[in-house]
Order: sequence, then C-alpha cells, then structure tokens
Amino acid sequence: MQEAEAFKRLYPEEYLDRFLVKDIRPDGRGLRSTREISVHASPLSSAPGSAVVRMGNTTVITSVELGLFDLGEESVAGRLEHELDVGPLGTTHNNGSIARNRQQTSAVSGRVRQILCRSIDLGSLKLSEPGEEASPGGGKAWALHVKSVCLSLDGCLFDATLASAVAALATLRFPRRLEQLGEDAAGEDGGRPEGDGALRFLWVPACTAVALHKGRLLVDPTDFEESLASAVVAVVWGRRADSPGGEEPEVLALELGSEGQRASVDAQLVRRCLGVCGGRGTSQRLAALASLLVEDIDGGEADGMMEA
Amino acid sequence: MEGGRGDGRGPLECRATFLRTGVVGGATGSAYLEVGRSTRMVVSVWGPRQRDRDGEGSSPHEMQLDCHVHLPFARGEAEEAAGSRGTERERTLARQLEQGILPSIQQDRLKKCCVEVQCTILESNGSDFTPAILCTSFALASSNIPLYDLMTSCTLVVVEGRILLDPTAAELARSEDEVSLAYMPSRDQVTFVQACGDWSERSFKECMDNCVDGCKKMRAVMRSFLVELGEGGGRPASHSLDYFQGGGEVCDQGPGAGEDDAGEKAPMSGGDDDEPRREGGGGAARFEESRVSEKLGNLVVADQDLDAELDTLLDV
Repeated sequence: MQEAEAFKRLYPEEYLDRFLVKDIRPDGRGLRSTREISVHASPLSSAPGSAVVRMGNTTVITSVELGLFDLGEESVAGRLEHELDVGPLGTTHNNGSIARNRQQTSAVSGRVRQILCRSIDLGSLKLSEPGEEASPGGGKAWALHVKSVCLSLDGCLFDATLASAVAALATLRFPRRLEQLGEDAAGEDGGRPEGDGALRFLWVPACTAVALHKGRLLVDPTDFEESLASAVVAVVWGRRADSPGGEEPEVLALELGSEGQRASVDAQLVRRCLGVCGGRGTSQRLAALASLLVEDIDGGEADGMMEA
Repeated sequence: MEGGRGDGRGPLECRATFLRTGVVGGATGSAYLEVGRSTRMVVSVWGPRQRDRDGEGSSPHEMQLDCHVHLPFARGEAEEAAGSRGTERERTLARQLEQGILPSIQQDRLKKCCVEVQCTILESNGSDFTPAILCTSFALASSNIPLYDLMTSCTLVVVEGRILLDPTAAELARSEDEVSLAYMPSRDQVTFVQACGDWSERSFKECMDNCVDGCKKMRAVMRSFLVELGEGGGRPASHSLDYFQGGGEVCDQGPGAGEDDAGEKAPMSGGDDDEPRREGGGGAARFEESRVSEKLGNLVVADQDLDAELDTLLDV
C-alpha cells in the first residue's frame, strides 16, 4: 500500500495510466461514471437559505443572505452576487500559490454568478407594493448575496459550487413581512415576490466536468486527475424548472480550461465530451436539485437529506 | 425560567455534542463538531511539514503551530475580512486557540516542524473558544500527531448571580462574568484561562472548579467518540452527509438512555435559540449530569484498559 502511494507521488502519470489502460480509475470508478451527489438542505439556521452539497470528497456549503436596494433608472430587476471562499484549502491547494488560488476562485465564482443569473427569474425579485402600479425606475428589489465556502476539495470545484448555490437558493424563503429584516419600511405587508415566498427558477442547472487525458475522457475528475489533465471541459446542463423530469436537458454553457498546458480541442472532441457527460450522472444531479425545488414549493419547509 | 434555562437545561448541564472525523479529504486529520444543533464547525489539521525559517514564534528550532480561524458566515464582517489577514475576531480567536491547544502537543517530538490548523466556524451560538478547542483537539487526535492528552475546554458565565455552564449566545450577552478555560484531564492541568467581569463578590475558585468539572464531562464524551471510532464505527464520512445531521447520537449511550425519553424531558418552551430545527434527525439528546456521571463511572473503572486502547488507537 505504501509502495503504491510512493509510486503515485513519484510517477503520477504512469500511476494514472496503469489504471486507465484497464478502463478503470484510481478510485474504482469507470471512466464515464460520476461521483454520487448528496444534498443537505438548510444546515445553517441563521441564514434564510443554505445547503451543503457533497460530490465525492468535494464539499461546498452555501448560504444566501437577503438585502434590499433601491431600483434606479438602469436597474429594473433584482440582483445576485456570488462569492466563493476556499478558506482552509487556500494555503495547501495549488502548491500554496495564493495568487493562483485567488484567480481560480474568482473565476469560478464569476461563472457561477453568470449561470445563476440566467437560471433564476431576477424580475420576480422586485417588490410589488400593494395598490400601486409598478413603475419602472422606482421601488425596491431584493439583492441576493450568495456565499459559498469550500470545506473539502477533491476536484470539480465549479460543479460542486454551482450545485450547492442552486440548492441553497432553492431552500431560500423570503420573509413574510419586511420588518423581519429590520428595514425602515417596517409594517409594510406583502414585501415578497409573488408566489409562496420561494425563489422562482427558470432553469435548474447542473454541471459535469470532463477531463482530457491523453485522448481519454474522464468524467467528473478528482483533484489528482484534474492536475494531470491537459484540459478540462465543463458543461452546464439545464432543465426547465416548469417541467421537471420531462424534457431532455439542454446545454446552458460550455467552458474549456487548460491551466496553461497545451491542448488541442476541436469540434469533434467537444461533441464527444457532450455525449459523454450528458448521461446518467448528469441526469442524477439534475434530478437531485430539481426534486429539491419541487419538494420545496409543495411542502414549504425543506428538511432532511436527499440522495441521488 | 426559574431554575431552568431557555432550552430546558439545568445550570450545570452542557449541550449535546456530536463529533466526527475524516471530513476533509487530503488533510492529516479533520473533525466536524456540532453543539446543540446551532454551533457547527470544521477543523482540519495539515502537516507536520518543515517550518518556515523566518516564521513567527520562538526559536526556529521549536515546533510551530499555525492556527487560522475562519468565520465565513458571520454577519457584517465579510467586508472587513476582505484583507488577507481576516477580521479582528478571527485573529484573536486564532491566537487563543493556538495558546490553548499547544500544551497538549508533544512539541519536543516535532522540532523544526510546522503544524497547521484551519478552523472554519460555520455557525456559532455561544462561546467560540470552547468548541474550537474541542474540535481541534479531536482533529489532532485523529491525525498522527503525538499528543500528551485530549484538550478539553469549558465556558462558564454568571447570570444574575447564578452559574451557568456552556452558555448560549443570549446567555453570554446577559452575563456579568465569564470564564473560559482549557484543561488536560489526565494530567489535571489547566493550560489556558480567560476571565472577564467583576469577581469581587464571587469565589473565582468555585467557578474554576465548576469549569473543570464541565471539562471532565466533555472528556468522557470525546473519549467515547474516539473509542467508537476505533472500534469500527470509524466510517470515514464517505459518500453521505450523515455527519451534517448527526445531532443526537452523542451522549445517549449511557445505560438505559432512551432517545425518546430525552426528547420528552426537554420542554422547548419558547425555544430560545436551541430549538432543534429538524425533529426527525435523531432526537434531541440531552447531556444530563446523572447520565454522564454514570458513564464517567464506567470509564473510571475501565480507565486502565481504555488508556491502553486509546493509545493503540492513536498510534494506528
């Protein structure tokens, strides 16, 4: 066992290759299988919305805080901000390079924000005051501050962060009355978007990454596999929120990163990636998140744990 | 509120504590701690590795303990934390943690080494110091770092002349005096004390004694978790989130301790802060003094065996 560990450290490429020629990966998975996802809703009692998502050994916890802001001339809808903190891993990951870590995490956070902005109905975050026509360029809207903290990292930071952010937003409940927020508009009723106090989703997104290693495609790579891969293709799939389970998922976004290494990726390869990662694993992830959403809207309180 | 507290505890009762190791992949040791369902934290231990030559601390030949505390979800402090050094509260807590935990490590066996402790407090209701010490000590025990003993800790406050152990945030805010200490039970050494308030009318010794008693109870809990871990219960939280909803498994292993029983005994009147949010998650275990002393009794009888067992466990 220790010899294997030493071999892995000294010759990481050979170590991985010996597994791959037998169509198996160091953790026992097949090349195309994803790790299991588990979602736990509302672990933090202090935040209006929160969730922990675990994919293999990658764990990300996300909380959503609410704020109000005045709508101006140019802003006509609610706002969403995302922040990612790799916290404890900051000094040990990426060979201790803090600059590279910052760059990486802010890039991940930016991509998560983009996807989330497209997936939720920002227009519904506007506060509709009773008895008054909503005028453009006035009134207040919710600002969602989404903060994710990575507790344990073993590859696929973006996938896990996105999943946990979506899950946290799904558990989000707007306060019934504004006074709960301690705002000056105390006493005003109906301070929530239409619906039942939950956030409206347009899409339920889920991401699956594929690592490219010597012509082989490894779905949902671990940290070790990611570090050896020549390129990582992240595909974000989305399913319409109003028809959960029904339609085939569509591609919402696709990103290719090569971490400074040379990688030649052509259309053929991208097509292969799409074919590989659109399979069962992704549907499982989508189903896990979508069912959280459905259960939430129906049952009100989101409790307990769900496993895909 | 007469005689009881907001969450139905007696004045010298601690909240249920839940511990689990192996939560951070790749770390030398890690632990997750939950106290009364409203304090949650994750501690990971990294190293030992070669220490920085020009690092802070004493001589470069000594061991260095590098503690970092993160409070990612603390309100209103996020902006301040934008700098790399963190907020004032994080730095103070990191310093206290370092001072509190260092005496339990066999420093002479780790010369010129650096051990890094990363403590992420996800949610906190009450003192931050006490759970941080417990969780860090547990994480250290689950790594291979040589220790003298488990470090335990307890916080005590005086509210309206009454001594309350393990206070919640609300009790902490109302308190007149406050003592926190770190204590190594098997050596009977107090290694860290922090006290504030007016001690003119109260015997400080009495408070210390109560705190030490609290620490001893906590040690029994920690040891039972460690032993359970080594006896094959040590499922490294692999593909589930069970450690995030462990809640009540804790102190209820004493003889004749039914979980339902404990649930009924805890009238959630008004539910100060500690109301269990998820009833189904495994019953709110109550850290009852009698039960713990029973348990402690068992441990004392088997003390020798347990010590040996613990030693072998820690060496594994």
